Amino acid sequence: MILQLMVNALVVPLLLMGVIRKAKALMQTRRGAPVWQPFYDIARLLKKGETISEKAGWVFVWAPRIGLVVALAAAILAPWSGAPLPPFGGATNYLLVLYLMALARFVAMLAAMDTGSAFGGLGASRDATISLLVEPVMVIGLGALALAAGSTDLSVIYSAPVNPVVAALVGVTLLIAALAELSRMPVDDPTTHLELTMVHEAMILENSGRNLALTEYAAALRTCVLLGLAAQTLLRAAPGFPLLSGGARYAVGLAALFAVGGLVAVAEGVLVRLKWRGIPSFLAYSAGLSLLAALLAVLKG
Amino acid sequence: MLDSNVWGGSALWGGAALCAWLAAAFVGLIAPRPRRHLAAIPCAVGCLLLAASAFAGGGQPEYLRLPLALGDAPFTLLFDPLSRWFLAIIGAVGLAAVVFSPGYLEHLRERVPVGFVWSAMALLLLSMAGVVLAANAIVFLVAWEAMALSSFALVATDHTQREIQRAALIYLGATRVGTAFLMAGFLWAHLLTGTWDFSGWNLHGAAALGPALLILVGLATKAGCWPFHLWLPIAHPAAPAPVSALMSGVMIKTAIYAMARLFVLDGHLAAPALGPILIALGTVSALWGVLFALLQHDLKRLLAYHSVENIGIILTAVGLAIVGRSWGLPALYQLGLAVALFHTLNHAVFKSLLFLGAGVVDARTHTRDIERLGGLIHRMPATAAAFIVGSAAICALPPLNGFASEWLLYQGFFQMARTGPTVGERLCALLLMGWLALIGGLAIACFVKAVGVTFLGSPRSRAAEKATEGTRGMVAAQIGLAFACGALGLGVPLLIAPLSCIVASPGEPSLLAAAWTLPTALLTLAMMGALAILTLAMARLARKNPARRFTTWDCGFGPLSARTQYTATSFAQPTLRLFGAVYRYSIAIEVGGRNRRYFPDSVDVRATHEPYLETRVYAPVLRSIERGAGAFLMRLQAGSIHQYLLHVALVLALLLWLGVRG
Amino acid sequence: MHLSTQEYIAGTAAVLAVWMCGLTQVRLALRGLAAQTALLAVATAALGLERHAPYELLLAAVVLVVKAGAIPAYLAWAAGRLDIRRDAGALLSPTLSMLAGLGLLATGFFLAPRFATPASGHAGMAGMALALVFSGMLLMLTRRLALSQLIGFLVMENGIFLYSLTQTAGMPMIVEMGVVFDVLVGVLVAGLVIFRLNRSFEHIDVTQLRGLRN
Repeated sequence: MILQLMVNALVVPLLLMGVIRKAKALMQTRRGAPVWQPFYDIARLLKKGETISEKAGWVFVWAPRIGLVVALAAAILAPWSGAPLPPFGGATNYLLVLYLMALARFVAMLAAMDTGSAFGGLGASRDATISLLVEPVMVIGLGALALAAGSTDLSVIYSAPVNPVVAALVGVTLLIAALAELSRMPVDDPTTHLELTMVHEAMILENSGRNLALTEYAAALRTCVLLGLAAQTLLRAAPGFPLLSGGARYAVGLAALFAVGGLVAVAEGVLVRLKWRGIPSFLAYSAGLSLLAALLAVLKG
Repeated sequence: MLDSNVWGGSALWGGAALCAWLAAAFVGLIAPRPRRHLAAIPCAVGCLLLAASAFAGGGQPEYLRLPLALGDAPFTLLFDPLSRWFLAIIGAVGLAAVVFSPGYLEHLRERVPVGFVWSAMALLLLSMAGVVLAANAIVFLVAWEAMALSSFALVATDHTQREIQRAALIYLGATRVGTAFLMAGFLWAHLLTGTWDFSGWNLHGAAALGPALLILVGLATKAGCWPFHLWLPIAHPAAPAPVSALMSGVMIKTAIYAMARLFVLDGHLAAPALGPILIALGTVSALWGVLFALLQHDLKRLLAYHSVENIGIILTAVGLAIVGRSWGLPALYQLGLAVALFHTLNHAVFKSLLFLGAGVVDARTHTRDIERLGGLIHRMPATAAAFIVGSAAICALPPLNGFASEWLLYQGFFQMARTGPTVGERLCALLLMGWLALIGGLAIACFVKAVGVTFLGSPRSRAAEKATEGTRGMVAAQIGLAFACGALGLGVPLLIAPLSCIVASPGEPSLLAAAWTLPTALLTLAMMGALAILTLAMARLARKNPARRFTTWDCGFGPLSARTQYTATSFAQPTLRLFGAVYRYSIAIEVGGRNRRYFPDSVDVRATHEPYLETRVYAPVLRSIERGAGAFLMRLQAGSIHQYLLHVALVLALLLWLGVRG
Repeated sequence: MHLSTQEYIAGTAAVLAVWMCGLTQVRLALRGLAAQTALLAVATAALGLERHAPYELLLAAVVLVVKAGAIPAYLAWAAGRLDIRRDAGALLSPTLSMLAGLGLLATGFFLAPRFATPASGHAGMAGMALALVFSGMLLMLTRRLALSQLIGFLVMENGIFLYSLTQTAGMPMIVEMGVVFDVLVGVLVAGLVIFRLNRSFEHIDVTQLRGLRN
């Protein structure tokens, strides 16, 4: 169990990032970097020195650390890989996990404003707007899922039988929400280098070296949690999907996670980035799906 | 029982606190100018005594009967678990405000009689304690009016400024109207029951609805609930910061106390229809408050709108409790009431913390316009840190206290979604969960804006460059409240017992302990440990390769000025445009110069919104009242002494007739 | 309440109607209409199999051919002739009108049990039928072009059709058939009117018809 936790916290997140990048490269008929490249990147960044803006204070220095610790906590508490959770009591609550992520985002947004850079403010402002649209959708969606289990505890939610249609709706909802929350296509382009169009990258424009390494690692952890929860939910959309246990459940969970990662890469290969003003309409679809799921879930009761 | 005193620790300490405040009010008036802060000592002592009274006495009700009577109503004070909860809030927030005030009032000393402020503040504290202790409607109304008048005097403190005169008058008008409704409701309840004692009011169902609705309007006006909130964002910023903290943190909560007492707890006016009404008002209020907070650039006005938001959240919880009771779901009832009380406490703590922080900024930069601030974190580090903690708490971020109460509210909604009687109610409960999350997201946007533009980045004006940290007392009050935010968040299991004592009547099992399942204290400890390890590791890496300080990335164009930073307007713009229909928000851009397309000389961007609630709803209503009343008064005030005497004679005759008949 | 397969099919049709409220492209809306009607035909057939009513199978076939095939094809042809591509909406933005449609979907579910209870054992279907009617109404209310109003009308008609299915015996087959052909004729006539509108005013924007008031 400890081993699984270590693998989940240290290996899977960066590997997932590597796989997504590789799959995207293949989509674009490039060979791409090896899947281990994120590990090398983090190691290199940790070794490098960092440059901090003269205007920045302790918020900028501490934000990546707090962000990483909080993301780690979320990654340990959420059952995104299907691995059995250690007995954390009620701490595996989905609202706690979502609010931990909100805490990480709050700190990151403050850090972006700390350097007095216009890009930081721009990124923070956009990130705040996107996340205030995404948050209710995720709360309602997971709430609909939780209704069948009768508890907001994630480990209970994911071990209770659920209506496959509700699971499918919530799964797609979570996937769209994750794309927005993680600043991926079609909401934000993680590879763009035009500052005016960026959201997440604009926020971390001033980060470098160790600071950037922590930020990137935290982003990988968040990716894992959100895509993993979407994958776990989508697994339950298959009618008659058995509630596996032990190693089989973990293996299936990881396979689903990487499959969803591949899906994200494909989406990044074929989609274009939306206009900023088109994003709310895109997110409205996920809101609609979560409302449908809620309707179905309360009908079942 | 009401005729005799039932003495105990609570009543003793409480009585002492009231005496201390009376003394403070007196000292404030007579203290010589060099000792103008002398009244702070009895004020602080009163707060400490009141807090002691809240903790003494256990769960038993105690009565303190003063040798006074107003008509047929004796002057009785009741100390029971519910009033003790509010006494603790008044004591704690009062103490912080009192510790903060001497440093703050110094910057006003040329314009304002400081001793007078102190006595008004002592009276405000006294009357707030009176409101939550009143055992009958008459005492309640007396204290309520004393509270309204003393807070009016405090709002008008800086009365030489036109803006503040206007704010004070609007506030006075709003409290008048509110009290009128409240009185009407009390009279109606008195007619139905024949007693002024709250304990004698036992109205149910349709009979309770009439008086309850009138009382609700009166209380909602004081609480600042939509659509009766208009005075709040005008009056709260006008008052001195510690007074804003008291008003926003405690005074508007006395209305919550009265709702809990009358509508929920003992079933004095148990009208089930109030539940949905309160939930509807609360949801609108919360969303409205946070949306309009996002629009504000005046730091204190922004905070005042957040009070509207949080009052909305609390009212929703009160509504949940009423709904739970009428559906016969004790778990929902207990959870709803407990959340309402807990969030009241939490909001009192973090909102007064934020108002005090805004007070330091105001006192040291002489502006509250955040567009002219920036970079204050380097000049007032303690205030900035405390303000950030308060912001995280109000945004309901774990592990602070705002999260604890909002999480419990989520659990309440989830209970409702599981056990509600019909599909519609269950779906509404799920949507309410989304609503709470939306409010959380908006609050985060708003406070990132407030903190980021005020405290981070580089200063946007000379005043912000020259700012200094507040005095030791000002810092101590803020740090104390910031620690309280953390302690209340982590210590929820300790609060379950007093809350259970309030929400579960004797003999009933408390279902609260089962609702709180988060081991936040342990989790926070683990996260702190991880943070420490991470920091050590970073320090080790930094020894080999120290960080370099350099300018912020300027795209290679040369040094950045403070004007290139993101402004509060631009930060809020995407969200404002998203909800543009609510604000009637529009942006006008004017480009000047000969070659406007490529080399504009000037670009003027103006974002406007139409305050339609004021202009379309309130203004016509007020105008028509003015017109009607004006015509009537014109006839009444003929300017003839004889006619006035006739009025007096007529009223006397009427009173005589009433007396003879009664 | 557990939903049956037929209810899921009908529910998908209702969701498609909600989705159509959020569309700006007329061609896509027509495809949505065709898919929605086809789903209703499938639901009809499934009900027919369940109730051993062969005439419902026939009805399903007619609906499939006429309402899901011919009418959308005709309207698509008309849209092509008139060069209509987008209908941006007048009253509400498409996104908001989609969310409003969802709200109406939920409302349909709450209202349905208060109407006559359908006896067929598919209790959810009445709610979906109401949702279809509401969505059609919403489409007619919020859209700018006469063609979209026609689409909204057809969605409403689908709702009424679905509601009649929920009644045990259904309507007599001859009435159902008559309704289908009435709708066909109605659409043809409306199409002609749209052509005439376009020729007279060079547009089919109904919000501008207000100018004719005097």
